[in-house]
Formats: sequence, structure tokens, C-alpha cells
Amino acid sequence: MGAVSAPGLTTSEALASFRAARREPGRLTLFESSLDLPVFEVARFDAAHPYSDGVRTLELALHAVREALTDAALDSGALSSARVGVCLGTTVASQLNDLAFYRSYKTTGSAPMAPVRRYLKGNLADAVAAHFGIQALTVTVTNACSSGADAIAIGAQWINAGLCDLVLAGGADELNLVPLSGFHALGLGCPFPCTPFDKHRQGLNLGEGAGIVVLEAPAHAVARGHTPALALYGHGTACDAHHLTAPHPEGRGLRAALYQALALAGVRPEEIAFVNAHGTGTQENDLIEGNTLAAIFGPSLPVLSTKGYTGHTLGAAGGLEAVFTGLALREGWLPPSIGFSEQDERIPITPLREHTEIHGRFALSTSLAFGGNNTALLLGFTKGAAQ
Amino acid sequence: MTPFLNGLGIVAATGRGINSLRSALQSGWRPPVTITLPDKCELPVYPLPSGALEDKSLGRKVRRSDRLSKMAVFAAADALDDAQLPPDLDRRRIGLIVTSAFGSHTTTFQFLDEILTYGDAAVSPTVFSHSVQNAAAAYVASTLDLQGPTLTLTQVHFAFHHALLLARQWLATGQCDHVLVGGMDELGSVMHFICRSLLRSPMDGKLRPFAFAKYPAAIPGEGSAFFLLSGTPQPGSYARLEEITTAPWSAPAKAPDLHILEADGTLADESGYANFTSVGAQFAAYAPLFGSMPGGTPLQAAAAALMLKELVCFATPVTDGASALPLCRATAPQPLASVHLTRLHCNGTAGQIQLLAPF
Amino acid sequence: MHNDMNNTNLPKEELLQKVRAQLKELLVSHLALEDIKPEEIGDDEPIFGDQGLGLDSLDAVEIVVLLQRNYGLNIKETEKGTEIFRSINALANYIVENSPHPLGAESAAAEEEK
Repeated sequence: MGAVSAPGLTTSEALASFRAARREPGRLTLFESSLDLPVFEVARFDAAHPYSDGVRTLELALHAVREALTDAALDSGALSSARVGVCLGTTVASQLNDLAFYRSYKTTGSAPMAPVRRYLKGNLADAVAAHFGIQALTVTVTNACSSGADAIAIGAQWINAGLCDLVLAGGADELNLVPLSGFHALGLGCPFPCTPFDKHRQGLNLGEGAGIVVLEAPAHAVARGHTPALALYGHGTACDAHHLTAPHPEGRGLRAALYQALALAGVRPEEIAFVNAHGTGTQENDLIEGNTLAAIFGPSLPVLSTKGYTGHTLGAAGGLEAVFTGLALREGWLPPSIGFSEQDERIPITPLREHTEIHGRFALSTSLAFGGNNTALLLGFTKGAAQ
Repeated sequence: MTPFLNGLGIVAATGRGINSLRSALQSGWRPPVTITLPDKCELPVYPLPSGALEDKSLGRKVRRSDRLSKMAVFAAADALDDAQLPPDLDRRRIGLIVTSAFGSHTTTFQFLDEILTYGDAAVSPTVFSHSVQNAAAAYVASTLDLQGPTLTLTQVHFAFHHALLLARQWLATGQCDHVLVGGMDELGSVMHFICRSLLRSPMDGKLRPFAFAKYPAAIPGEGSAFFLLSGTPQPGSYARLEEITTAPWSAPAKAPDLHILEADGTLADESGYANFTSVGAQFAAYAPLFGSMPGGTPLQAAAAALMLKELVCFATPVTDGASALPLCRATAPQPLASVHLTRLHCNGTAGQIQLLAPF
Repeated sequence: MHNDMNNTNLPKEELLQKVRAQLKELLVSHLALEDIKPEEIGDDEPIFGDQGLGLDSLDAVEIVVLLQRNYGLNIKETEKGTEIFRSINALANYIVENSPHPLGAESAAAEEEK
């Protein structure tokens, strides 16, 4: 697993922030905007690397991929001798959305083609594969807020189909003016550090980062003498088919996705130790997600949203939150769901208010996307590790 | 498992629907439309015919949607209708995968325009919502009530091929009974400028796929095509999906009856297509009817599917440069058993789709 | 010469009538209500919800932007979803009472040029 986000440049740094229940939202420094909204930038991240054409999203992705490969004890030799896939979710990096390009075109009728060439050179997954010299299955998922989680589910499907031995999967997104401006226009931006599930929540903050997992076919792991502690046991994905920007009022799609993940894993709701919720801090998401989780797992489910620490990282969120779920299982504890203090009577679940020890083999991470897609990932200790 | 293509919907330069696709394939090459850019330069393009996106029956549901979303909704709705599935189908068992090479660029640029005109604090939330890459998929899912897994893949190369691979997997594992898979791409004023800057237009308005040129000319196109894939055949099935690969090229075990080369001028160097001319009883290339589109595979696959269902080979519209190749030169009934599609990537890999006759 | 109440020379009822008509045109064109003619919209018809015009939450935030651009109005959080959005009448009243140019930004610009 590898992760870079506001709480830290590595999983260890993130864990340190979680242990201290510390978050550092700040003012925007990466680009100009008239909006004075708190954001979760990855501080101290030097993106001046020649091979990425300065594309910050790619740099974030590569950073997390490197950490994940080290964690999985895989070097470039191992990558070139295996059938590898790269499946990454993103939003910003897969659009022709360069403001300088458009401004030039609008004001002068002409614009330099460099941003277009960058776009044409390859999508995020292609670029990551090219960097490691991998001849791989490469797919870039652009499913809005569930992209990272969807990418991990696809990676699992590639392995189960026998197409790959290893898949680098997850998501990455850099902070960008388009979603910042857009979410504000939708009335979904919070003017103070976000408070997921809190009674007085007023919306989301944007963040950036990359969360990557290395998925490996069991036979391949055994053959190289590697015994991973964690596995992806189930996943589920279903669409609300309801509205472009609002979730289904009864959480229809999320419910279906959760039951699919549980069924695929052969796990009962009572066996779930905790849920890392999508928990953006918007009125509707938290209301519907909270009620759906309570209906399936009961109101005393240990639940948190790590978006209080990272902001909403869009395409990276599903990847980051899968990593945080894995880390929590491995470390045996969860941080408080930062930003939550007062219960909303309309939401039956109560996010964690303090550092909490957890016991249990399985956990879930949920992602609810703009446009109505819902994805759930079910992680757990492998049999050996559980004992 | 070899899924069946049980429904087809298309809206492109050939018009909307299977009948207009058939007519266009029968009629052969038509000249492109010439548009004049703001700087007075001219650009030949293959746009949708006017009126192709007017539909009262879907009207209200897609009232706010942008042009790209409309294309996808109409093509997907037509494919679902065409498949004639039972009306009481469990909507949670139908998946959706939407692919695009360039995504919703016109709406994205419109949003950037809003930022420049009104400032980033006063932009339109509707324009933003539609600039999100999965907006079209959201419209398709809500219009057609598709409650299964929904995905959008946006990448320049082979997005449709990967979508087919995934759809096959969803059917094989039983996650879905049916999957709507398709692609969409649009033209627009900024895209015209980009095409004019990066591509070379042919002097006479003809794409020449068999020139295998080192610096090919291109005529940008737009459109959307969707297929309804299912695990079981139906009387109206178009084809069986035998294999999909996106690897460094290797010849298939058996030469197809018809090999469609997707050369369309979007690669800087198309001479590599010449390597494929040893594989196939006959060759054809239909890009001259649709225009040049890196994400154009679904449109050409639609032509392939129609041929396998109706057991007819449509004449390849432009034969220049292929004097020695066994081309399908005249439209005629043919007992086609297999049609193969090949599209090259600039890195030497090839996206290949093998379709077989359904029965 | 300006009427202190609403910066135009019009009597209030006539102004309200013009604003209602303009609002209807604006909603139909901006929200792409292709199957509706502006004159078909009732003054007291509910704008949101299943009855009446049937607009939704995305239309609501879009109308906030329309009000800002065309009438110079900044709707505060608490005002959204409340009485002012209930019908064309309610919106028109709000505009006449609060907008610096209730006949729209273009007419205000034209006024300034005089």
C-alpha cells in the first residue's frame, strides 16, 4: 500500500497524523482563485520531476506507487517478469481543462498545443506503466468520486479472470480550480474545515493525493515466497439511476453495492469491524450514507470519515480510503472521525470521537460518486495473518 | 465465455439508427462538411447531421444535458430497445460502461469560459456538473433505469476494448445478465482548432485508410455507438464476441473472413497497418464514412456487427492505395463467419476485436 | 429621474408583470425547458417538486446563479429553498424588492448609457 495526501507523504506519516488526531487544512497556494475556501494540499511535495512534464497528478501517483511496490517487496525485475496491470482512477488528469490554454484560445484565437500533446501522450495509467517500463493492461477510470475504488475493483476482476498476476490499482488527483469552483457553485463547498456527519455540517473541502494498492494473485505471491497480510475479499458496485448530482434518497445503489461486497466475500454484516465511510460532509451524502449504513450494520457500527483529514480527494479518494482501511486493520486502531462533534438526530450512526482499538478481521470502505455510482470494497486479514 | 451482441444503437455522421447506418454503408463515400474557423481557415469534418439529436420521446429526461450526453443516451437507448429485452427485467442486473477518448471537452471549455467571464466564484453549477466525465453515463443510467455497475473510462487509446473485456468479465462472473457498452466523442469549436493545428486535411475530402501513410491526412468525426452484450443469444443477435486483445500484435489462429483496418489518420504514422495485410480473406476500412476518431472503434464495430447479422459485406468506401489487397470492393451477400477489427496504438500494440457470426 | 423604490419609472404592478414575464423567459431558455412555452407557466404554480414546473435541486442552484448574473442578487444560504423560490410570483416580488436593476442587468447597462 502507498499513500500521499495532506496527512502525510507516506503511510507512516499519515498514521502519525491520525494518531495525533491532527489535521492541517489551509489556504490555497497551488493556484490563483478568488474563492477563500479551506483546502487540503499535500505540503512539502516537490513536483519538479522532468519525466512527468510537471503533471502533479502523475507525480502524486508515482510517489504512492513507489511506496506500494516497496511495501509489497516488488522491484522492477519482478514487474517485468509478471503479467502486470495498471488501473487508476482520476478526474482532473483526464480532461482537456487547461485554463491557460483556453484563455489563450479565447483571447487570441490561438493557443500552444503542449497541454493537448500531454493529454494525447497517454492517460494516467499509461503514464505510470510507461514510467516503470511495464507492458501492461492499462485503464484510466473516470467515474468521479468512486474512481479510485472502481479501479481497485477492476484490478481484482483482472486477477480473477487470469489476465494479470499483479495490478497497481487506486487513484490520484491534484487540487484543481475546476472542481473547486464547480463544487462551490453547487453550494457544496464548506467555508470552514469540513465536519463529516456533524449536525452543523456545511459541505466538503477539496484535497489532493494518491492512494495505491498492489493487488496480487495468490499463486503469484506464494511462488515468490511473499505472504501478504491483507486481501480484497469483496467488492460491489451499483448505480442509483436517480439524478446527476443528488444521491438516491433511500441509498438504493449503496445498499446494493454493500450487499454485493458482503456476498462476494461470504461475510455477514456482523463480521465487519468498521466502515471507512465516504462521508464528504455534505448534507445529503452524510444523511443517506449514514442511514444506509445503520440499516445494514446497526447504529453502533464503528464508522469514520477520513475526509476530515484529507479533504475530498475526488479520483484519489477511493484509493486513499482503501489504504487507510487496510492500515487500520493492520495497526488495530482507528483515529477519531475528525470534525465530528455533535450528533445529527436524523443520522443513526455515531462516528468515532476518539482513538479506538478495533478487533475483527474484515472492514469496508465506501465511495458514493457524483452521478450516482456507489462502490464498496471489503478488505480483511488473510487466513494466515488472522491467526 | 463469448458474449452475444444483442442490441445496437448508433448516432454518427451516418445519422441515427441502424437503417441509416445500412444506407450509408451501401451508398459508400460521401464528401465531408467543410466548416470555416474563426480565423477563416477551413476544416473538413464529419459531424452528426442536423436533427440527429432531436427526440421528443426522451426530451424531458435529457433537457439539460449537453450534446455529448445526448449522443450517448440516444445510442444507448436505441441499443436497449433493439435488444428487445423483457420489460420486467431486474434493472440491477444491467451494467453500463461508457468510454470516450476526449470526454466532455466542449462543456469543460464552456466551464473554463464561465471562469474567465464571470470569475471562479460565480460559475454555472449545471455546466460544471456536465463537465464531469461520468455525466453522460449518469444520464444514460437514470434515463434507462440501469441500476447495475456503472463505469466511465476516458482514455485516448483502447478504452472501448477494455470496456468489452470488463463487460465480458461481469457477465462471466454473473455480476450482470446484460451490459450496455459503448463509446462517444464529439466535435466542438475548440476541438476544431486543435484538429486544425495538429492534423493534416486531405485536399479532396477523402480519407485513405489503405495508403498506410507515414503522415496520414485526417478528417475529424464524432458520434456514439452502443452494444447490448448478454450471456445468451437471441433471434436478433448480431454477433458473438470471440476475443479482445490490446497487446503487441500477434496473428489470430484463424484468418477472418473480413478484416477491418481502423486506419483513419489519427496516428502520426499509419504504415504499421501494412503488417496486418497477411491476415484475412478480405479487407475493408470504414473510417471514410465516420471520420477520424481515436475512440472510433465502436462505430466501426457497429458496421462489423451489422454485416455479421445480415450476412452481407459492404464495399469498402475508399480503395486508393490497395490495388494488390483482396478488398471487399462491392456490396454483396456473403456467408461471413468472422470479422476482425484492428486499431493500432503509436507504441506498436494493437487493439483487436474478433467477432463471429452469432449462430 | 428615478423612482426611489425600484430604480425604474414604472408603477409597481407593471414592473412586477414585466419581471414575471422576463423570469419565465429566463427559466425556459436557461434551464432548457424545451417543451414549455414561457406564457404557459402559471404565476402561482409551484416551481419545485413533482407538481407544477417540476424543477429540482440542480435547477435551484442554477437559478441562484441566474439571479446573481441578471439581477445582481446574492441569495444567502438561509434564503435558499424558502418562500422566495416557491413560485414565479414569489421570485418576482423578491427581485423587485431587492434588486438594484429589477429589469435585468442588460437594461441596467442600457440605462447607464443614457
